[in-house]
Amino acid sequence: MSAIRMTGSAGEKALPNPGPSPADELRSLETIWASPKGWRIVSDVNNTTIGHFYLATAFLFFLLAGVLGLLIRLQLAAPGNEFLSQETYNQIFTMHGTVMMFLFAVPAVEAVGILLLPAMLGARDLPFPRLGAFALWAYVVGGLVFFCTLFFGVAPSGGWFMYPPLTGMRFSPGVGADWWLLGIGFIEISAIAGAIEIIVGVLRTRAPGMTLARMPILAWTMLVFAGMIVFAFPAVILATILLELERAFDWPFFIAERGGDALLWQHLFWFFGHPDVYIIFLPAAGMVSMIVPTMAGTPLVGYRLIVVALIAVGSFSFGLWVHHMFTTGIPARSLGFFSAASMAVAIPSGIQVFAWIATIASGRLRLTVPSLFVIGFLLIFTLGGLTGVMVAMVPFDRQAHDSYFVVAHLHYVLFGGMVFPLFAAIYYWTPAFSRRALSERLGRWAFGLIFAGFNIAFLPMHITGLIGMPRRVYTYPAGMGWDGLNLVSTIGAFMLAAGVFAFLVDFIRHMRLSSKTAGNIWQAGTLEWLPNHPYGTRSIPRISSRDPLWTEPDLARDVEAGRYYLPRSATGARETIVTSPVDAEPQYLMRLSAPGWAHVAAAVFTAGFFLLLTVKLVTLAAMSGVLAVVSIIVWMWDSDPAPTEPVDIGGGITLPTYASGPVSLGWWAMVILMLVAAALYVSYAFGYLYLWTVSAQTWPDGAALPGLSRPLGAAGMLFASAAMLFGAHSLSQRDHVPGTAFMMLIGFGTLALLGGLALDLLAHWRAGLRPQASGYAAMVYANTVLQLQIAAAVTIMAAFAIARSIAGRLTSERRVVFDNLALLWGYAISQSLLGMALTHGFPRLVGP
Amino acid sequence: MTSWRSPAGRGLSILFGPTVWALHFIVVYAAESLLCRTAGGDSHGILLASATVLAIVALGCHLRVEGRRLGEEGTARFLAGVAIALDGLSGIALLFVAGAGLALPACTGAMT
Ligand code: HEM
Ligand SMILES: [Cu+2]
Repeated sequence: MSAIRMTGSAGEKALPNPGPSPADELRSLETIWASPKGWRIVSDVNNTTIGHFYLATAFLFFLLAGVLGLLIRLQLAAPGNEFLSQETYNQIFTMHGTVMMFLFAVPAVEAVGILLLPAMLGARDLPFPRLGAFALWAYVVGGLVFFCTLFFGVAPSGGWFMYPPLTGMRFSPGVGADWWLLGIGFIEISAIAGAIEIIVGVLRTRAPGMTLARMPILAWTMLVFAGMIVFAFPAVILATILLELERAFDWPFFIAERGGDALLWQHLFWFFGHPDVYIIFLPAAGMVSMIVPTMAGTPLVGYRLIVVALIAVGSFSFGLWVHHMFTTGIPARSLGFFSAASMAVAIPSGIQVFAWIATIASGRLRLTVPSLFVIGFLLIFTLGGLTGVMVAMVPFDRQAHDSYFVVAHLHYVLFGGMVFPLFAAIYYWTPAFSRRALSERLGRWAFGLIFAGFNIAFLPMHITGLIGMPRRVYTYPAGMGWDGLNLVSTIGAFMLAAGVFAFLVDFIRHMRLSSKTAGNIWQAGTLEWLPNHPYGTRSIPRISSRDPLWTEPDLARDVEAGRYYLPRSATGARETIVTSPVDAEPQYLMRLSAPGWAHVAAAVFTAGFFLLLTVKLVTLAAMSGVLAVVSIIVWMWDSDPAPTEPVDIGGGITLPTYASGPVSLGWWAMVILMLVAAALYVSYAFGYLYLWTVSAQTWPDGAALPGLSRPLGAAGMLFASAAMLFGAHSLSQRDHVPGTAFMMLIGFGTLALLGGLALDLLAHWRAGLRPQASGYAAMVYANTVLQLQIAAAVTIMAAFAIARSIAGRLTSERRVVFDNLALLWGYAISQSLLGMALTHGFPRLVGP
Repeated sequence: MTSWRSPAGRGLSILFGPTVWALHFIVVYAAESLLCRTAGGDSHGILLASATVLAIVALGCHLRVEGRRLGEEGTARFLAGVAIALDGLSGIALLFVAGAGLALPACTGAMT
């Protein structure tokens, strides 16, 4: 049973656009896709520009957090050292971990996706260029401000996982924890925006013929990566919302003596935190899966098994979170579940490692710098995996927990599993963007120093931990047997830094972005090595194998000569071919947005809203929030252009330029957004039920609950809202949408939704419930907060749809704006009803 | 319009195994704290065993459906292969979890 079946239409081939192409076609492509010059580049949206900025920013955060790592090591070099004070040390290790995880690792792999995916898939750009640019600028502004808190001594200091009660108001009265909660919560929103872009891009903008079975492994990993973000990040976003509500308004979610529970934070955090490790690792593994076949000169062994392994790891990793909580007193059998799942996930991870080894064995590996980093990755990550299986065993973990053994383990996994592949990737893909490749000589120095330095720094930490040194201590007494090992670790860390420095020298000397690139110097087989321009490839190829450049030697020439699909701009705008999700057959031509400023303003003001809120400048924050909404509306106004005549892309294929319903990419993005919202709400429901299991005694009995008349009235209003949604929907399908009736239905329907929520809120309030009273009460009001969030989004979209309909930009045909509103509106109604069933029904169900 | 529907359905079908795994995991884990509070440890053992049998049966049925698709061509065949392997891996992971659970007593441990 061969996994590789890639014979396409062999023999003579008719190209879609065989004739010579008119000279002005190329020129118009170049003008349409030209990037703004000079400082205006900030308004650019092209994925190449955005990808470069994204990666550069992520790398900057790697350097900054790396310097913090060095400071930590300096402080710990000798016992009783007084280089850093305790509070400074706490801020520094917290920022080191937080910045590495949230501002470096996740954004860096997302950046690689944004930079490489369109080229790899044969798309001209990602489907929502301005969304990608928005995510970038939000991250740049938010991240830099967050980092600067360190210089003012107000950085968070509760560790990167921010456990309450330490991070609650009582023990962290300063503003540091708020910076973490609002800053990181906000950056997660930007990561989700990127994930939506990546999912839709991978599933719907592949070159014709690039079926799921022919998609490059990096695209598969990016798909799994983005899918995991959709389900994992909402849990931590919910956790940050709850903790911030507790800190700001004294709603006691995590305060045990008032019916909350600090462990709830740990559950929510690690439901995100463990998958996050794989969110970081899987794309890095995908990069390795691209590099290994090229360097070995042979197709990847076990492509299908790797796809299986990716999906399995991505799913099983959601069942591991409690292994971070083995010492918290959870019942033995439950611990068994998580311990077993932690070991089961090693099976698919092992499959990947064996596939790489088999590929290396079946070809002949060229020992280039990328190969060296890959080998370094294999060795270090495997070691980290082994210590991982060790700490997955409960008795061992009870010994090693919170010691330097864990610090060693986590760096072997993260540095080995993500930083080594990233360096390999940078060396490997630079020739696709730069006039010159990076230097093999300097690269070897960089690798040697990083590899040796890493092991000298972190290998001894296993022992330091086993002989008792706890993590997160700013100093230690002499004579515990830790002195020598710590000194060695510090020397190693500086050697590692020297290696990173060698890389920087190499990069600065040789990296020259250019339209004339060094090109396919490794003889790779995938599409990103075709001649690449700001508009992607000149024409869009039809794909019939997994390594098209290997199986079709003429491909580069024909693509560049414009002999494949769409060698021009068919509509005079930026555009990309949208294909079906499984078989990648062309469905329509999507017009993409051009550079602009509104999304940049939206990013800055959104960041401003969160950051100003942190320092309690509420009025300014509100103004910034309003400006953010205004900017988003301005940005969205140009989107969804009117349909035009169908266009010919060559090869006898004529495509419509507009789509609505499940074919359109807007619909897909909205559905994914709803999955995000649903994951957030499921996390909430878990939290609600969880608090009941730990503190049922603080729950109200029947008499204290609101009577049923108001909740039933509220439900009635929600059903009325649903009826108006259906009304508006059926009107929208008429040839001539009756304007006033349509707008009234949207307007009153939204009001009914808001009214229903308000009435429900009133019911609880009148029953005498106050959010500060108990964990239970806080949870009830948190439900309202979540519902109002969605309802606010529905309200803004409804106003937008009404405005578009007045401006004649919303018709029965040009209807994506309404379809998206309808989806979210319907979702909001269902979630509100569910919330009412939960908050009114559940206490009655279990109550006395 | 209609052409994408069924292939997309097949794309989603590869997630069947992992979904069953996740549901089984959630049910047996969540049930422990709930049942221990109300009905006692034995009932959790019964639940664990029956959920496991049910999940394995579900995986088996899905595996048979996908097995028939192995005879098809191209992408459909590829996806069937992926789905089958995922059913298998999910089954193994699920038995791991159930085995560890049955080996340990319910409703005991540090929790007071
Ligand atoms: C540049 C080289 C690095 C050095 C020298 C370094 C050093 C350290 C040290 C000594 C600690 C322990 C601090 C303590 O417990 O008191 C630590 C913690 C940590 N590091 Fe690194 N590290 C490096 C790179 C990384 C990378 C690449 C990542 C992730 C992608 C990372 C993630 C973390 C995390 C999450 C923690 C835990 C922070 C906490 O306890 O809250 N580190 N690092
Ligand atoms: Cu974990």
